[in-house]
Amino acid sequence: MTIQPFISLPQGVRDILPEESKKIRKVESGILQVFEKYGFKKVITPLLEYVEVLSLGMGENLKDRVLKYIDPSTGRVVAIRPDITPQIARVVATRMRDYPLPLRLCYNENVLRHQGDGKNREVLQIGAEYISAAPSPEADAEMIIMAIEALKRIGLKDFKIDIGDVGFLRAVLGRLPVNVEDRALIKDAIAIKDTSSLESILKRTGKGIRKDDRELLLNLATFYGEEEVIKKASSLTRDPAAKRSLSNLTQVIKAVTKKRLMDSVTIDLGEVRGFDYYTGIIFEGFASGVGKPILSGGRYDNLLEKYGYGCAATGFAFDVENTVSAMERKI
Amino acid sequence: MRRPLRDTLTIALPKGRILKEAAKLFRAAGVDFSEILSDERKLIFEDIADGLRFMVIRSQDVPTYVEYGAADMGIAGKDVLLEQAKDLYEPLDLNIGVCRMVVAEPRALGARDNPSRWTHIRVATKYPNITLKHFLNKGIQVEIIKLYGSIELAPLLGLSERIVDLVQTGETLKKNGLVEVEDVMGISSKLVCNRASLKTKPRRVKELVDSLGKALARMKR
Repeated sequence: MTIQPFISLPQGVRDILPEESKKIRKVESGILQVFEKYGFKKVITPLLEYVEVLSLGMGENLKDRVLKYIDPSTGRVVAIRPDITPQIARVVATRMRDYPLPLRLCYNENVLRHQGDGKNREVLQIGAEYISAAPSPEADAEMIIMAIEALKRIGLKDFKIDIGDVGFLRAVLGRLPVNVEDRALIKDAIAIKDTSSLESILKRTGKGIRKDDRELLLNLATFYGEEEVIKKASSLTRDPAAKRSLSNLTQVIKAVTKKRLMDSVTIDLGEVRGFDYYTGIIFEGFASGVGKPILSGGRYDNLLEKYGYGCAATGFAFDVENTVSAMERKI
Repeated sequence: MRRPLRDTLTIALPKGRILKEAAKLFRAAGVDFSEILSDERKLIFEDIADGLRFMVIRSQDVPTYVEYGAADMGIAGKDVLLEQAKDLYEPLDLNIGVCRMVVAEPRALGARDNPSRWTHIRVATKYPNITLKHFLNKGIQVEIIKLYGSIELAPLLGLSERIVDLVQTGETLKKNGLVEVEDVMGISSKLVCNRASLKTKPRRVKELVDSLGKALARMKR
């Protein structure tokens, strides 16, 4: 049988046949059961949003990846959602103000992201958001513990939740007496753990930077692995905001340790992912043998404010297909 | 007994000149590459060092293998990394394959040329993305002609006025009557690492970065 060439799909989207759909359903229902156990209630958000509304709650790198069109009836620009979190922020800020805090919400939706080269990618997500009046390490810990429990529930072995803190990094970078361009270069070098570039930037911009700040920066690229790196970092900084972030992180780790789940956790204080979007801890899930993260999230205390409701929030989402491929890998 | 795969690091090495320089570095770190260097057909080497597995592939393919996690780590030139803009860690500058990327043009043109007056130029290169970014940042419109080799020929035959290419000694440019007009950036080979590998095998990654880093320091002395 030949298929006529015009009966094809755009790049980046695909059909999911019964065999695979069954695996996806199994993973999704396992995760949702754990979310439910923790008291998370599911909401359903629309496929389309006005770009200007969605933009309030998107990080810079996501804004370039939105698929848009002009609504012929109103002339306004409409987006196919690339992320659910800004939608949840909008829903909570506009429709759910009379619900008591903390609010535990979850979702299971698909999003669409432009990938460059004219390609898009449809992503199946399951996520959870914890919205509270004020930030707390307990809320951060609850999200991480719940993520680990969900992965254990679906039977995934050999995974790590990697925790960092952009609040800490922001404090460390913020105190450097360098101009905006150099600060961006320093951040980019830390992002790829490139100590030699960092050295040459510091050599060039150098004189005003204090010795302990310089030592901390040069060490950031190696502050990954086990929890001892938090102590090491703490001994190298006197900045109060940086200290506060590290002590929050220590409390999160304590809560995870209490649940005997530290085997599933690594720390990376040099992780800058989502630097402009998140405000405190960030975390990602990795399974050995799968090159891409299976989940990602963090604390974003500025987001709800942008929709007019000054609340703190922390959350994460699974990439369902990456999670399923982690289950299938042969190791 | 061989370690299980989840405790092994798979390392992608680029074929050719860089492989020989990498062999010296790995030897200084206690890993003997003579089997890899002597057998050009074999692509995967499992028994060279405890807990390490090597694969030899085209240099341009190294970032792709590492990004998808088919290899945990690899050795790749900064030129290839910037051109492909893959999402990788670069924890160590290996100080091998050192060269520069430059803008060059025929000597006759170079004598009266002023790069600060360029508004629209035509450039032949193997590196369209790096070239585009370099000139965009200076507000210069650039028409890029992508070639796969012998870039120096392009200005001689009128394909483009200028080229962006790697130079090591400048001998090739000179032989073809070209002069360097602008420095784009310094290039060297980097040890690269897949994100998930660094997170799931932090100790193994750190060990390798440390031991190669120490070998580098010894070789410099």
